[in-house]
Amino acid sequence: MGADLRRWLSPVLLLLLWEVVGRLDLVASGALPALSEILARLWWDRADYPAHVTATLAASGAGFVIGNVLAVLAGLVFVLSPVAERLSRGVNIAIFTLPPIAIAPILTLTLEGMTPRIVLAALGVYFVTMQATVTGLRQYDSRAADVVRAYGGGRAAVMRLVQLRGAVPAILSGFRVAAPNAVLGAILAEFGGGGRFGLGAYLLGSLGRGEPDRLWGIGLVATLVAGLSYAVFALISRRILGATLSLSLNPAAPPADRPVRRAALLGLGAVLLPFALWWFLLWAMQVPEMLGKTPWGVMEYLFVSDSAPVARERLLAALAETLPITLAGLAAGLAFAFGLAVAGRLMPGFTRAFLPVALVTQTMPLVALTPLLVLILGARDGSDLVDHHIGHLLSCLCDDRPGYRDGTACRTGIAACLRGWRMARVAAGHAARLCAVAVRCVAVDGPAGIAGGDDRGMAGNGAGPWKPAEPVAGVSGFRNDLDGGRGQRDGFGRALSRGAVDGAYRPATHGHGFAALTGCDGHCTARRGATGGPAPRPSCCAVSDSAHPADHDMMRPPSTLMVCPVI
Amino acid sequence: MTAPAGIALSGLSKTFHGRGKRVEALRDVSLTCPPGSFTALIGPSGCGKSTVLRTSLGLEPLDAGRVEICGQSPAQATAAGVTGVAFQDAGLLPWRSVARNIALPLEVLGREVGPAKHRIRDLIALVGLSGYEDALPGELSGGMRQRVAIARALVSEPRVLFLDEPFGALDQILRRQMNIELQRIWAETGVTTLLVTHGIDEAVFLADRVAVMQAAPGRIVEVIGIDLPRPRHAALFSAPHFHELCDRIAGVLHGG
Repeated sequence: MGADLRRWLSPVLLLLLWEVVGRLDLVASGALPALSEILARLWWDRADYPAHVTATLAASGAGFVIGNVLAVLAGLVFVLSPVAERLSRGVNIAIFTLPPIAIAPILTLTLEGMTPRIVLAALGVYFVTMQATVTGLRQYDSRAADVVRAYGGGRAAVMRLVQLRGAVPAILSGFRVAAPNAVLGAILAEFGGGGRFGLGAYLLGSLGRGEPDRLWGIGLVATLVAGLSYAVFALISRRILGATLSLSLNPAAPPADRPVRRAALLGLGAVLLPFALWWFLLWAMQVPEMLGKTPWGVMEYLFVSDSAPVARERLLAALAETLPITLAGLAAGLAFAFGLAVAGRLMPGFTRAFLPVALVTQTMPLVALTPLLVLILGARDGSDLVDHHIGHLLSCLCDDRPGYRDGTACRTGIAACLRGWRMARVAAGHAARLCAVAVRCVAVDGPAGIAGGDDRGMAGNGAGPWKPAEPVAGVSGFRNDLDGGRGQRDGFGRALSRGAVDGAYRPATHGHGFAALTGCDGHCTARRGATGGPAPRPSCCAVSDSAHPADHDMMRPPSTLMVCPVI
Repeated sequence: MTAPAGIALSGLSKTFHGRGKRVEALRDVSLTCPPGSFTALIGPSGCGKSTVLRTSLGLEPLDAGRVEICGQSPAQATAAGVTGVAFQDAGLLPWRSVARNIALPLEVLGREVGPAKHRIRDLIALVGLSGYEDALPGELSGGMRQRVAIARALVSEPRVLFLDEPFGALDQILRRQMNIELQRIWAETGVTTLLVTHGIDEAVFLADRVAVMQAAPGRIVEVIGIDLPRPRHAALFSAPHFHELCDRIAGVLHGG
């Protein structure tokens, strides 16, 4: 009883604190409403949710299935053929590090209906599941494989009898982590893709009204949806695994190193393949030149065209802004996650107490979280840091805990270290990705102090096409929408002069790095730069909130209201 | 049971290359095990005795030399189900029950598992695990798992049995019990057996002949015949002649 009480004490205290802080409007003048207010609002809006949740679930479900089927098949191919794995490494890393935020606009422009949502959800699950499949298939028990081979069994028999079934736990844990990703991807595409239903569309539609309690409510529901998807697979894996995990493993040796020349060739192939794929997809989907830049187009933009030095300068300046934040977030998040993992190992009670928090951070779509973080932390580096933090918590915690737990005594230390290092690599990717997310968010709330809008609305105003984001594959995995800022909107009958765009860029880049270069938000900023006037009427209002008189709320100072429509 | 078959190893040589190191695991190892015999291969850690067994089964390629099991190459013999094998670690599939783990070789060999149901039950009884047919390996003790591995080695009715320190992980008491069990199984089935071990008493207790190996490079230095009468009982472990033989082998092991 006493233990039970203690277990509940800290969450209850936290909730109470939240309530008090919310009621007294202590955070950012009411940006953090009390839980009771959020719940009340949730109840008030309850009729809105089913349609949105259903739409999100449909898109994320389809994407989840497609992405996972591809991922498991790819994992199988990679394990059977290390050459294929080497060659695809570039593509895999690109898919992993590609911030969904950067390709959402392209997808929504080039694909129709539900497709962008499904594609983005599928992209979100692919890497996680593929990696889990590869790991699972590789970490088979070499002794069991020896038994199969000692009876004349070949590679196929080992795969069938030992590896496939042995990989099930790993694949399931991949699904578990991937499920919230699918929800996140779908919401993101909804956010960037218009459409009436979907939590992302709802979030977008609600942004302009200056009602933190509803935003929080949507965030909570999104978290719940993602959390449930996580829980479903956690349950399934628990049921399936049962007693089968308790044997120690004698991991098979990793494949031997290849001759240098061959490795170099494969490496070159791995670098070129993503670009080939990029080109091929543009060609296959018949994307107009205006929407989809080829790799050469980006090269031209960066190195050949007249404005190349300017573009490069901007990019480097942005990188200089983003990189330190990314690294700081990475370090803080890793330290925190490792601290947690160690603390959990030393004091089991700690894990129990922290589990709810960990679960929430693991499943909460950053989509929903980032605007709120910006709201709360005042759109400064802090929100980036927190974002990274959470991203790492997500990747490290969920992977660390089994790492610490299932290790036998003799190998716990080493395994944990190795695992830690591997996770650090993964976390670095997260950090880079999340940085793009957070930074983009912050940028809209930028120094200009204007309301950032969303491009969709402008398109809704009858605008023509504009140049969308252009993801550039960098070695470090940074992706940025370089061209987005050029955002010309013929629909407004106003061709922006280069200078105006630059003028709009500068404050944003100056303040917040990459973000200003990232896609849609740039359009608004750019447009404002061109007109030089007050903030344009935000698009989201134009689209879905026309019935609300709250449009002009968007003019309020950033710290109180302006949440950028990230993700 | 079909007629037992012999093992003929001639001139086995094998060198491992790894991370800048070169280890000559086997140099010109030759050994003949007549049909129905029980041969023990003993030597210090790292002398290549497991490599002898693994190359005999075709699990490792040889640099030179020739392995004949029942007149066949290892690949032919293993795929034909001539051989049975148990390793130092049980190597059970954790998601399969005891009975289904024992059935694994049959599945690999492409034989029907159904008709073997009775045989599997008998084998489970033989290794003293009746009642554990449906248990998962995770629910068994180390010794029990090892006995499952022994039963699995016998399920294909092999004519040649390779055992790689199958009792290495067991405590002394259980090990003696298992030695007596193994002798009984061997006597009942007449299977030609090659046992790799580092236990001198185990080797002397079980084998007709003990081949003593030394390391760097791995080679057989002497083959000692064990003239103890069969069946051998637990009392033998304290017999003077038993100890003489053990001392002699120890002498060879330590380069005497």
